[in-house]
Amino acid sequence: MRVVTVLQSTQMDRARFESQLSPVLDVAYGYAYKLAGNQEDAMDLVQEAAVQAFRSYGTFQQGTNFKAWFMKILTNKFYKSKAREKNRATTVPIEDAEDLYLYREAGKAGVRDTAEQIFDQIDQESVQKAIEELPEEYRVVCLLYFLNDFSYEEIAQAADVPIGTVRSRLHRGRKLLQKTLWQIAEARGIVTAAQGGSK
Amino acid sequence: MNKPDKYDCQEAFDRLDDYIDRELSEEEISLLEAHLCECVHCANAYKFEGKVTDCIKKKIAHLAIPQGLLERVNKALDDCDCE
Repeated sequence: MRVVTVLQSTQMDRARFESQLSPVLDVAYGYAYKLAGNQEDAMDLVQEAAVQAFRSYGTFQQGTNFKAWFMKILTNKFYKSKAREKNRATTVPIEDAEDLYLYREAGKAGVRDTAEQIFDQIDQESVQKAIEELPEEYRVVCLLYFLNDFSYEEIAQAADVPIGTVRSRLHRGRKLLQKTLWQIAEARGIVTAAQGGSK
Repeated sequence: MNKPDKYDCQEAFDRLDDYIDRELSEEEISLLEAHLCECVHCANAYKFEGKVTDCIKKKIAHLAIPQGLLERVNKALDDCDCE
């Protein structure tokens, strides 16, 4: 009798866990892919995070944010993974950028009013690559923000850092991203060097 | 001492990210928007930064789950169940 009850309880947990995991699996995979840099490592990360989450499911407080909880497990899996070491080598060091970098550069180039159109010409792949090349601490919070539209509190939970750290990393990540995107626009001739003139 | 009814440029600039990211309180939003109504420079910067954020969000499309991932996860959970 007791065995049956335990079995039923486990099956109910599994069904409940799957019902919460399924809706976040696509965004979790997208996040893992952008952290790891390739499909195979991303799939491994999601699988390992799912197993870890299921094992720890008893500690998850129902009614709280399952997505942020799962992303935290996934982020920790990434930090301990070999994929992290591999992808770290591809990260390009970027010099710091001024606040409002794009706004200032677009102003200098006289294209502030058409910035949206300029940005639209930068392909999706380049934007994704620019994020993937951010130093890891900025990449993690930027991905959690831009990909998941998480609040600072949710990012803090998922990245396991204080909210103040989320705020400062997101701020700097944005600036670095803007600088890279402007450089891409110049390199592609979307804005001319004469228009641009950024350093 | 009366509380100010709007921020100055520096106070507004300091809250740019928080405003775009919807992290400000009602009171802060009110003080900020009162400043933006009067300061074209800050209003333009806010509008510009908001557009850049929206553009980046649009360009980071979600990836489709690769074939086999769901099966892999389910299989791993099955094995986990058996332990």
